[in-house]
Amino acid sequence: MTEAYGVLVESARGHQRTLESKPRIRVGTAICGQAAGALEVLEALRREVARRGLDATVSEVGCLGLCYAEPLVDVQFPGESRMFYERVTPDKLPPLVEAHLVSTSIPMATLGAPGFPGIPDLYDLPMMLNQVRIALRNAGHIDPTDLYEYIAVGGYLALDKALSAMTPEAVLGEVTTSGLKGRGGAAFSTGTKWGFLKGSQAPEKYILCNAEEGDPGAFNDKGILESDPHTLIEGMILAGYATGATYGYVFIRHGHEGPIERTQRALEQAYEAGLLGRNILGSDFSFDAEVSLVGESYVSGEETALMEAIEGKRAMPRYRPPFPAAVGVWGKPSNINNIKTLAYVPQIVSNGGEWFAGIGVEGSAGTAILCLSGNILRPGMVEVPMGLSLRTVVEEMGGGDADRQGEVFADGRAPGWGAERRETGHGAGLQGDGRGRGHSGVGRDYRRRRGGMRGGHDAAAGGLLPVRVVWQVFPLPPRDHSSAGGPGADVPFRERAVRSGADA
Amino acid sequence: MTNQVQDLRDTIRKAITSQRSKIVTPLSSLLAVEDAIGYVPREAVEEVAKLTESTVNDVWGVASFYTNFRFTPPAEHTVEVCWGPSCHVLGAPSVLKAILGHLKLTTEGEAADGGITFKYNTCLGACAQAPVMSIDHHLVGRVKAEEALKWVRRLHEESGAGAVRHIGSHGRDEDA
Amino acid sequence: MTSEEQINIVIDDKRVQTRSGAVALEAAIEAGIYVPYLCYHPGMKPFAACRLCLVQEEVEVEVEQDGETVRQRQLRPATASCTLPVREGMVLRTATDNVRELQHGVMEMLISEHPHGCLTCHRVDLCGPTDICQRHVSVNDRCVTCPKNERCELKESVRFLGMDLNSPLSYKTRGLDLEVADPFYDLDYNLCIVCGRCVRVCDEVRGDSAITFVERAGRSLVGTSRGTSLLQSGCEFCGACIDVCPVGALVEREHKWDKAVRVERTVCSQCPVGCQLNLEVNKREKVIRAVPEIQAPANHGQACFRGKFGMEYVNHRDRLKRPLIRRDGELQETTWDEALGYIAERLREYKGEQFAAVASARSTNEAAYLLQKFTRTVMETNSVDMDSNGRPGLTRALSDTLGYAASTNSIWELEKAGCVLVVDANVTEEQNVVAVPVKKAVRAGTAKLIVIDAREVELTHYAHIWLRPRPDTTLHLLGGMLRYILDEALAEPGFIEERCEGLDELRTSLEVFDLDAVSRITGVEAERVREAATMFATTGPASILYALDNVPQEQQPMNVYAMTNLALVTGNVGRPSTGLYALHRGTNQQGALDVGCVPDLLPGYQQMDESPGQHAIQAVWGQRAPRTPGLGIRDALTAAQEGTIKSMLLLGDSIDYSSGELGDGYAALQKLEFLVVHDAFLGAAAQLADVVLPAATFAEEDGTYTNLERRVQLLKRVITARNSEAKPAWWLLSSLAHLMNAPGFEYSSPAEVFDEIAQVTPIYAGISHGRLVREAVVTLRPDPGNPQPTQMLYSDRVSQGIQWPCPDADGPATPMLYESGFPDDKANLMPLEAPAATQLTTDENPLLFVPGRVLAQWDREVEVIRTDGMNHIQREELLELHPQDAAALDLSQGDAVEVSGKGWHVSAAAYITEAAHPGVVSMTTLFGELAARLETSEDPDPMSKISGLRVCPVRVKKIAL
Repeated sequence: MTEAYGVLVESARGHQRTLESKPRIRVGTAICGQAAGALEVLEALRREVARRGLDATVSEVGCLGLCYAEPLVDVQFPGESRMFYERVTPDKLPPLVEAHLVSTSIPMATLGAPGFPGIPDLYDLPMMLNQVRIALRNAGHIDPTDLYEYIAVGGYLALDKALSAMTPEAVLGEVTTSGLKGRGGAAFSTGTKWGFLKGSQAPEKYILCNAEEGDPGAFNDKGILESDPHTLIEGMILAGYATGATYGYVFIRHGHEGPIERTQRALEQAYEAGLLGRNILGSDFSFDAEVSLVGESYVSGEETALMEAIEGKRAMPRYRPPFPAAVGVWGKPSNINNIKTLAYVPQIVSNGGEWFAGIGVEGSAGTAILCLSGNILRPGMVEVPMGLSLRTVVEEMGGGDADRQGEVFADGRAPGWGAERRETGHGAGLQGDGRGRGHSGVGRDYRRRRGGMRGGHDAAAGGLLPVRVVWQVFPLPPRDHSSAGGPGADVPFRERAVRSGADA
Repeated sequence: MTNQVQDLRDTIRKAITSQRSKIVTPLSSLLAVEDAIGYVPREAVEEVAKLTESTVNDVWGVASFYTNFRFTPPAEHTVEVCWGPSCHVLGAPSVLKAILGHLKLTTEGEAADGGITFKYNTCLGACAQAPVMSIDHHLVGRVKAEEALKWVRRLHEESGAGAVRHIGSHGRDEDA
Repeated sequence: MTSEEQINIVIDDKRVQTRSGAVALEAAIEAGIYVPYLCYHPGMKPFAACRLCLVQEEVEVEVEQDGETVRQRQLRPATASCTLPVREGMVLRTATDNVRELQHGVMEMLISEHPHGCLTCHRVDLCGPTDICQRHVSVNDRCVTCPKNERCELKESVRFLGMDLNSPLSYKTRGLDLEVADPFYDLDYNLCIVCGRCVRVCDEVRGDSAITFVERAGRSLVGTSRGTSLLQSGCEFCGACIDVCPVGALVEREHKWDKAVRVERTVCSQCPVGCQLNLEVNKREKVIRAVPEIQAPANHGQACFRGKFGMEYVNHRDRLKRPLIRRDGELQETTWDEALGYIAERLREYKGEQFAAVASARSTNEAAYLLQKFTRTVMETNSVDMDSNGRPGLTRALSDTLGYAASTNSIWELEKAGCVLVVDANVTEEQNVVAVPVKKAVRAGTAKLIVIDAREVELTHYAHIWLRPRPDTTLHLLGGMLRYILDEALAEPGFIEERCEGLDELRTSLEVFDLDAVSRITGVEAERVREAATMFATTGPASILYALDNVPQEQQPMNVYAMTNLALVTGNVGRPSTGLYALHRGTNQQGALDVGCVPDLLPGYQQMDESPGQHAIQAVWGQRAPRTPGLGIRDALTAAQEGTIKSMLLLGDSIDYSSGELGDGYAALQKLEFLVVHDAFLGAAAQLADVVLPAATFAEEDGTYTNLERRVQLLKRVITARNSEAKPAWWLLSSLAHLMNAPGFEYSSPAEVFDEIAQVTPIYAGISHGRLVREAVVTLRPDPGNPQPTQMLYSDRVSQGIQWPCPDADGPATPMLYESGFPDDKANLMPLEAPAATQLTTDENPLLFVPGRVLAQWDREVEVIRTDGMNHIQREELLELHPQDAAALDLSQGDAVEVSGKGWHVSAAAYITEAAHPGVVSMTTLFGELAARLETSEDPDPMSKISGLRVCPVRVKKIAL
């Protein structure tokens, strides 16, 4: 461990002790929370705590993934588990505070961590069951604006390990071993891609991180930035270290204030803590990063179009060759990685590539981060091992069709929803047609359609739907709750380790 | 040059010269202007061209490419309705229809009395709370047509600075 | 990229040799194999937008067959050949079923958005002259659906692909108004296929970005910022966008619907760049369009507003058709016989010092040579000059320092320069295409640009450093830079030691140019001078472009010495992308000087003394020239004014003697006893003449021009003017000499004249019309049967011209001077003398007025008003002046003022700024205004009359609003 990191960990521990010394109330204020009214709840909560003069910490967290339950508020007493309240409204707050914090006698929580008889265990919720949270390990648990909370749960440990004990080649080796494939859509081996950049001798190289999440129904990139921006930053720095790049950009669509603000703030903190900039953690390695905004245009999600946008031009895709790894932004070698791809990297470096390769199925290592929305009972964001069946995710975790009459459809380019096997996995491997898989919107059709392709205009909406979206329609099999699991069923679903800060 | 134009230019120059990002491009500068004054006037195109050493035509090419730029001053209030698929599935069309009807519009634009700018948004990023709308950049999820109308009516009636603060400080259920 | 290697590939079973770094499409085009394309255009980066140029690569793969591994040839998926780099041994197929199917699909989408009357008309293959079409329009060799009739690449491509247009195509236009309000251009974006060639040429090649893509997706089109007029958008009206447009969206307004019956290549007559143009001629022998030649060495496919839209004078109905002779004070038509007889008779009276002759800026080498020979041998005087020779020091001074009186390097070497210094030159307007490689290099970030000019001109906007000295102090600035370079050891001592003489004297002479003094005199901060000097000395290779526009004539040689010194001490002579470029104004000024059309030198720069060269000339001419130098144009006009010169012969199409540099020439001409003018129009000089002879224009003449990079290029007769007796100058002079019984003028063609030039001019000795034709190289093999960009279709055999010195008929040309040394062994570093301050102002006009002209000015409130269907710019003019002067005139910011100079006045608003020099006021106009004026001008040849931006004394007064 580097000396610098040791100091950071010490501070983080101290900070954590202070936080844990008094009751703590967390409110999920990611975009989904905000849309459900979390900001009003937060304000009301602060007012209430102040009015009563309670000695409690109120903090904001990101998205736990249980978007259907937003606004989600939880209360945690020192040494105890978090007790959750779902769908909280400002008017429910005074009684909640009264009951839980003032009388402290009868927990009224609707959800909870184990240990409270009569209250469902959070991790036994259908939506949490089956989840393996790697990139989302901290989402909804830690305060995304607090660097020390991230460090306290093992944040930047991977970076420290890489800088103090690993060569760039070794880091690249772990990523290659892990079998990680790009989550942006093309499912190209991340290790190979990094290898191209590493091979370039140019003095200036760029790691670009694509958060220009234009696909409708996908909000997991924004979710990660809002919930745990440091995990992305750490992943980016590691990518820079492995490839010899010196500069990183995170591209976020203009207007998504939450992700922008939280990422920007995280970057500032990282700079202050010596985790970015010159001689990171006292090593020889230097890396700079910043947030850059792109305008609203679906095509900016394409990597070369994004490069044009970065250079401030019209986001018109470039032709290849030359490929970005040779001639990218400003003519310099560049790698564009999806947020999710980079968010896996710290855990891969910490736990080793073999560990990651052991999750998921052959050809599709690791997890898929999926967003459930549309006509589904439990909209939200989940991280499941590759190979878990689509039916399990939609029917069991998402609760299936809200009004029991639709058919499920999935984004054709989604995370790997192989049409044939209906499993999560990289479609490239499953379908063999070379088309990319990687995004993650899952929704339910509002109209009954069968087996067709659809795209383009939709007059009923009085306008346009994005033209490029191709929906694949899955006839829904008869419901049979006994058929849980799938090829990934024997993977240890509960990754208790990632519960980390909350009930440690 | 009139003072008004001069003031506008000063505001624009300030916005584009105080960007946070180290890399200043026509796009980043235009976004900064949009953030500062809510639209991109001709003067902004010129100032950005000067700052970034490009021509107004290049800058205009960029500005007209991205859908988040507008070129006339926005109304006092902005109402956006997401028409992404998740929102669409869960009833955005009826929300759109109700608001358009109320504002007597056929597509996005300014309401006749100029108080409200209405826009479609391809994704407000809160698909799980679909359908979503945004009122002066404040998100409201799981919105129904009647509720949306209530928001818009209020903006309309209370056209004035107070309306924005009002939304920011009260929960939606409180008003429901 | 490493040096280019030869690469062998196979396209459609044909072996093709190409070079590494090329893309497959280029290789195919060079090999004459046609692959359909619409967005690619030679000279621009691939864009890969149209997706038509598909090819399939054939590769060998190993496959398992019945348990055995066999090698099989397979086709890879189709890919765009414009972005496919070639590899050794690559095998390509351009016409597979798969490729054709995809091309059909792409094309169907393209034409579904393009008005396609030209494709679906049932008479598309049948229509002929005098047919009446369904629309009851008489067709007469043209189609009424599109101005690009028979020249449209889209239509030709559709027909090439044999599309069967069965898909339901509704006739669709975007319903956009035709844009006709800007000068010269008609824009119909309903026809646009958004291939982006125009946007890319404007940006990539011309460096202007006056047009751009606007909007996106289905609404994406080409346009300007907020749809404003091109006048405001920074357009320099070079026409490059029109030249590359594959469809009828962008066309020249003039002769828009005219159909060309043939195309001829010649050299542009508008400026000394020497652009090769393909002139389209209609069946009535009118030049209807000019398309710059893409393979031409001087212009690389580019032209400018003058070349593109300035050719109408050739067709003008005011052209003189018959000789005129003054009878009873009136000019009356006559015959050539009578006119020539009369001239021969009268001129006899004026032999010797009473006569002077002046060639035109557009005179060919042959005409200029014969004029000086005629003057020297028949008229027995050396008083012969050319009318554009107002600044003889510009090139002549170079012979004092380096050896030859000419620019050292070739124009397009500028593209590779590391630093370009432009001194008092309005390149964009006067030698337009020279600015193209400069702007391209600056925009690509490979070159630094330093501009020294009191005026704000287009290039100042591209400059990294713009030094804006007080007018008339350029030499101080150059001296200051030179001294700083020598003092700070930024010079190249090795180069100076080995190849230069006179360093010590130069050093001594530079003592007066210390930076403080320089800064005080020029008004430029010393730091800026240091910066510029450092940049010039350290960012090699560096080139210098100069026109010395507002430097008084007597100071010009010293300025040229200073610049030569700068180039020499930094080692920037005799290497690629270095050297000096003298930007004179006359189209063939270099050639006229080369062939001795100057009063003090014989052809080939031979002195008038008893030199061997003089004897050689005497041997050829059979007679020797008078020994005393004659009068140059300035002195001749003065002498005419004073009455010592009594007769003159002027060659030229519309000489403009009112430009100011020569003083009031017309008053002098009026005093002559006998004036002969050979001109295409009855211009101001011709109206004063006793005999006016109708002149053939450059388009009706064979001959040669020598451009500013010493390139001798062939002019080809393009048209024969109908119902006209206009004759070229060589014919006139030969006939006249014959009538005056002078021997040695028995020529039957300009080629014979040139052969004599080669005999007496050593630097031209190896050049002949025959060789110029012979050495034209085939660079492309366009198949007229296939759709191609117009520029490609016209380009096949390209004459590269020959750059002198070329002493041997089988010897090489010299693209770069002094590569292997100087003629006098070493170059001369010339000591500088600080000029005495010249009084440029008068008591009446106490302020100096500096004009400027720029393409666009973004922060000024500009309004475009439309009068007579044409856009005009209306805006508030600002007069920049120093606070001191403002105080003296009792002006405050924004006050209305009137500026008056000699014979003109203009009103403006005062803009008081510390940036102005005390005593100097300046004002900038937009190029767009000039363009609108040129388009609407009644003058038959407006492009030749654009006066330079001259500094002049003015007075300023406050006026009430």
